[in-house]
Amino acid sequence: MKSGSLKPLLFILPSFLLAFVIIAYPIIDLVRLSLNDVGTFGEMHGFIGLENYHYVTEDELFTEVLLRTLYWTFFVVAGTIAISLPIALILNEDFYGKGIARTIIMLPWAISLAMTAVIWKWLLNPDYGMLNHLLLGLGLIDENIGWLADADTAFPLQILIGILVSIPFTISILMGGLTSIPTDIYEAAHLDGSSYWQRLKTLTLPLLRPFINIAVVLNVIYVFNSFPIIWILTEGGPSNGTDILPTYLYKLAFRDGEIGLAAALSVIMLLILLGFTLFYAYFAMKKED
Amino acid sequence: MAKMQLKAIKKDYSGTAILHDINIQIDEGEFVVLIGESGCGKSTLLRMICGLEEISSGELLIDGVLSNHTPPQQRDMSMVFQSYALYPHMNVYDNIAYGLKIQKQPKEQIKQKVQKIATLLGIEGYLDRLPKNLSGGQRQRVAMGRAIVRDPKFFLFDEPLSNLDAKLRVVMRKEIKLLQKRLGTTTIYVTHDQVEAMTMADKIVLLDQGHIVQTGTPKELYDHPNSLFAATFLGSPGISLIYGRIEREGGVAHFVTEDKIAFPIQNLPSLQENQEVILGIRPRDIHLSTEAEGLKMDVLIHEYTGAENILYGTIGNNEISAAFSRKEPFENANTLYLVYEVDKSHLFDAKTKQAIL
Amino acid sequence: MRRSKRKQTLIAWLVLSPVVFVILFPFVVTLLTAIKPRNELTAIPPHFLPSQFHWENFLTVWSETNISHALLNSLYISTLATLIAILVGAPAAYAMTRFDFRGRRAYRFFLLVTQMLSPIVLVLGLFRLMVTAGVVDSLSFLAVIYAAFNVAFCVWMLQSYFETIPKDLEESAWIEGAGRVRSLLTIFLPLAVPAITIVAMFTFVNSWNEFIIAFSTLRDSSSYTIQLGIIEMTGYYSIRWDYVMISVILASLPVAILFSWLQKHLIGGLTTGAVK
Repeated sequence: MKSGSLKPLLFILPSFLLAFVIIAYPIIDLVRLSLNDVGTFGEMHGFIGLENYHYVTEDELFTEVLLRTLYWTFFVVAGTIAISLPIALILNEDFYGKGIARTIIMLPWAISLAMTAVIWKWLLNPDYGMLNHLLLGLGLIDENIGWLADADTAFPLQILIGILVSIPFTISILMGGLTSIPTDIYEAAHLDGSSYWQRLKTLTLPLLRPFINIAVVLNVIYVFNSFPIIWILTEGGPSNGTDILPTYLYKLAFRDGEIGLAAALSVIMLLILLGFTLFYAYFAMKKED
Repeated sequence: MAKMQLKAIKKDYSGTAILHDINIQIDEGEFVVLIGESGCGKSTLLRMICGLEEISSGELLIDGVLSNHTPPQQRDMSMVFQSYALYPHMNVYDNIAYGLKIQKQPKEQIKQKVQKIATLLGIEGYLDRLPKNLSGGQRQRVAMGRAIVRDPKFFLFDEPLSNLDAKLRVVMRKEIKLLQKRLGTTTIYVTHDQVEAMTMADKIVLLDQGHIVQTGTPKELYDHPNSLFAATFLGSPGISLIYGRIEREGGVAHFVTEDKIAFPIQNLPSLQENQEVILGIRPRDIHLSTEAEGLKMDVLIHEYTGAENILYGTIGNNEISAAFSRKEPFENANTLYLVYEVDKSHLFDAKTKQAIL
Repeated sequence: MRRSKRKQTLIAWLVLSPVVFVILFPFVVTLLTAIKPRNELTAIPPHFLPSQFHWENFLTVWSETNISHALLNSLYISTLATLIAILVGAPAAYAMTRFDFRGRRAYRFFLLVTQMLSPIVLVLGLFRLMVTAGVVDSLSFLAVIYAAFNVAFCVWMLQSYFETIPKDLEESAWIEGAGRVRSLLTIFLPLAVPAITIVAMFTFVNSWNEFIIAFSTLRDSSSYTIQLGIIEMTGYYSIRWDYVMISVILASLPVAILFSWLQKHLIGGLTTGAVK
């Protein structure tokens, strides 16, 4: 029913107010803070323009962390898609134990990121951890490795864990896409004498394309913002060697008391996110029309 | 008393008009069928009548009272939806009783009424079943029971039979008509099926692209279609259309096709020399004749339906269908000679598509 | 016409086995750690299998740690957040499926944006909001924040379920004389209960598993959620990994079971709600 009445707006109002207040207040506050000289306890000493932005971006550490965030995002998302796509295709086929396989693959989603990180922290323990024990037993390494003590081993492992926890969500989206493809076109292609790989290349992948796009964009946003895995395993260390923007931001805000700088960094991240969001909105809304 | 009048009703959707200048008079106890192709606006019109859609302009009078803005709750109508709209979480009894409970009728009375209706419709054995455990025909009956039990001023039906198989459709068609006759309730029935319209209606309203094409009894519409659209919409097998032009010779008009075949027509004074016209002949107005008197038809397809022989073929380059009694032998007939009842044939102007009178 | 199912099974499991191993290995270690005798936790070289199963660890953890308190906090926050999110989300989802109104698109876009703004970039502002409002360490206020971050998800999911409830049913009820409220309560709501339950459970799990906001804003350890409580345990000088792992199991197993069961609903809901 088309109506110009206020009723639908009344239905929407509570949810709008709740989300707006909780989300808009911090944004406004952050923008204000970022333009002021702010003390350790958040007291404002006056407007200083973009000085906080200059200061936070001029720091060499910022460039390093930003670059690492981009690596982190790229490798986790690329790895996630590269692993999820074949798994989704397999889970879409008919085989014995499919239900069990699916439950196992989806399992990491059910466990919180923090708990996953805690478990891995224990697995990666240099002296008592089962990863060293396993690798020693298989003869792949000769002595215990302090995985998290060195950024060169810690960061790649964190990327791998990041991939592992992103797989279930991605597979969900891809399988949603696969089930939306009508089976009769496969039957038709079958009758035309095409092979499995031909059908994959000419039918499945093109039809799956929009779902892959969505999975990429959503994963980029989630991974870019990811905090617990890196924080719990290394706290961004050693010596900022595994810091990404979220952990760096946390340190600035809650450890170093650099409120003004942290606010500026928040706004910068917000703008990067907004870019992604508009990109995603473009996709999502285009599909709706 | 339950009459309805639609005066110059219009419907716009964000600037696009989908119903134009609808005028209908519905009398007490009448069975009115709104018919047209999908997208012609017939369902929208029904939804406006029961208050589910706003009326953009015009007047809806119910028993003489302007009711454009009366909410659906107060219109005292009942509607059978195409989907039946049975409440899936309520059993048959509660489905039928829902409206009565809203009216706060006494429990005992509700029980009696539901029992009575259920018996009337032959669903008394299913009262405690959920809709999902009923067959299509049973659901249809429950939907009707729910409509009837409140004894409303109007019954509205929105393509109620389209989800049933062909056999059941014929049964339910009869039952609905019978019930309506017995109850005498004014009924508005939407369908795209011309057989339903012809068999059930007291009055047919034929719609096309948001306009009323023709209103009348089934017989009026069938015998005197006012336009090409009306002529082709009703009747099965469909009316045969032959394209040609008028040649006047003395006071007499002749109809000649492009391939120079002369078809007999009524000598209407309004026919102009050289006017392009379309001749419509109903298959059942065609009869067998002799080589000397008839037009020569080359038979392409012969269908034997049991009740009739239906033949499709050509006279010259003109396609024609003809229906004959089942007693006629047509095995291997390749050529026939036909005459038709000229006074029952129809002429339409090829440009305006309107009937020539 | 098809490759035989047996052959497919073999190929499928061969390809999946590395992933399955990497997923399951940590969980097996978690369980084995939880029931190991204490001295074997720090044995060199470590034992993969415990010499004996100390299932009673599951009981001693309650008295030895603060885990019960943290569990209660999480239960309270997640329940409250879920209630609020559903109470504001369900009417919005109803409006989105039942009315075509001005601002519908704008609202949809707004939801999209709130979904994208992840808590980490707002957390400083959120903390200051709590300080300003004098509600630092208030579990109820944290629940309100969780609810806000779950609104978009709730509306989308509910919307995609509500769309499957035919509008005909309510219209039929109106024609039968039922008012808007009555048809909502007697026709729509009973049919929407399963969908609302599912979405509520998801919101609960989301809130239960939330980390960053709780971590940045909760100061007093008596208001810690289960996630924080466990992290706190890994910060001690000598970490009782058996207690940590038991707590991880206690914190995760119930929601994991719930979540696994809900999974199939999420696939449909996400793709119709977020993708379409």
